[in-house]
Amino acid sequence: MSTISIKELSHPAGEVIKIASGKTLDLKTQGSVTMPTGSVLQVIQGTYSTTTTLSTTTYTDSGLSATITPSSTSSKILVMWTTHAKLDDGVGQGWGCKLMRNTTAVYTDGTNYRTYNNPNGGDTRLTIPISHLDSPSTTSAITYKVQVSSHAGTTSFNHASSETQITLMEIAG
Amino acid sequence: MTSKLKTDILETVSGSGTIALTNQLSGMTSASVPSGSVLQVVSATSGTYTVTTSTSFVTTPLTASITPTSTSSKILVTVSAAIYAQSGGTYAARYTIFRGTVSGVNLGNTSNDGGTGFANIYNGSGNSLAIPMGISILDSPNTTSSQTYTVGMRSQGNSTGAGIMTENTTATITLMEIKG
Repeated sequence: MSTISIKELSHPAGEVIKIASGKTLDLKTQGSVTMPTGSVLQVIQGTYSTTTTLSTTTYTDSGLSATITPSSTSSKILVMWTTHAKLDDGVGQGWGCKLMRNTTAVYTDGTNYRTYNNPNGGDTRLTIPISHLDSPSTTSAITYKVQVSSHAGTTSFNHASSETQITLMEIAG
Repeated sequence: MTSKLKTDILETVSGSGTIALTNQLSGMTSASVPSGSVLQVVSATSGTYTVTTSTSFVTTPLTASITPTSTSSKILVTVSAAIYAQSGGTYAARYTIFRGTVSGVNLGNTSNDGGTGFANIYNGSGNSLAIPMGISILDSPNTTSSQTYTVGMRSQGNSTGAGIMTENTTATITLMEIKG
């Protein structure tokens, strides 16, 4: 076993640096590697399946959250989450969603509704996907929390204990 | 001109910092990359409207297969599709992801609004309802054998249909292998 101390790898014009056939370049078991911009560095997922009933336009924690520690301040976090909403029957039933990065709102639905219902004949239930690309500029642990609110009347999040998911992907900046 | 360098470990002169790479590094197919890295991405699409009145999950045309390179890998399954509940009384349509066929492992929650799945729609007014659906689930198949992921759907009953790829809208299923 030998160790070579170098500052830079290069190659002649018209060539590329190759790993010999059948050999492995180990970028994982010791030291670290700086991945190219856009690479996915880690994936975290959280789930939640407790029902929250809402009757106010004030955003409240839904319970759906996940925590990630970025490896660099230049990293971006792609947040993807689903929400299951039940809108009770009635005029102007609506439901909104907000994404919090610790205590800072980084995404907010306008006027407290992403969905709107006016059936006058029964409630409406639907599963909604939302995504947001965040730039937290930190290497400290971050908790992303989904908050929900009602535009009017009564709505519920995770009706009948439906499970929803939040996925965090760290993207190299 | 090509030269070959044989060594076991590369290290910076100072023992700290990074080794810069001024040109392209190729032949990375066998590289051991850090945990969390994306190792491969597989995607499939379908744009054929499909509907069922079955109250048991049936296979949709939305399916994709991937062969994990390690048993420790995780598979991030994402689905984007337009879904539809036909009119006719009070009803619901439910959607989930199976590892394998609909007789395989249902990755959905067992109490999803009264039925198993990841997504559902319900319209108490009795009118039809079409919405976009998105699913993201991180699976741990613990195998290096080829794995097929299938979107399943079913009707809640009342002989009303559950549909997907509404109006022949293109739907996508994407599988990403994540280094464990």
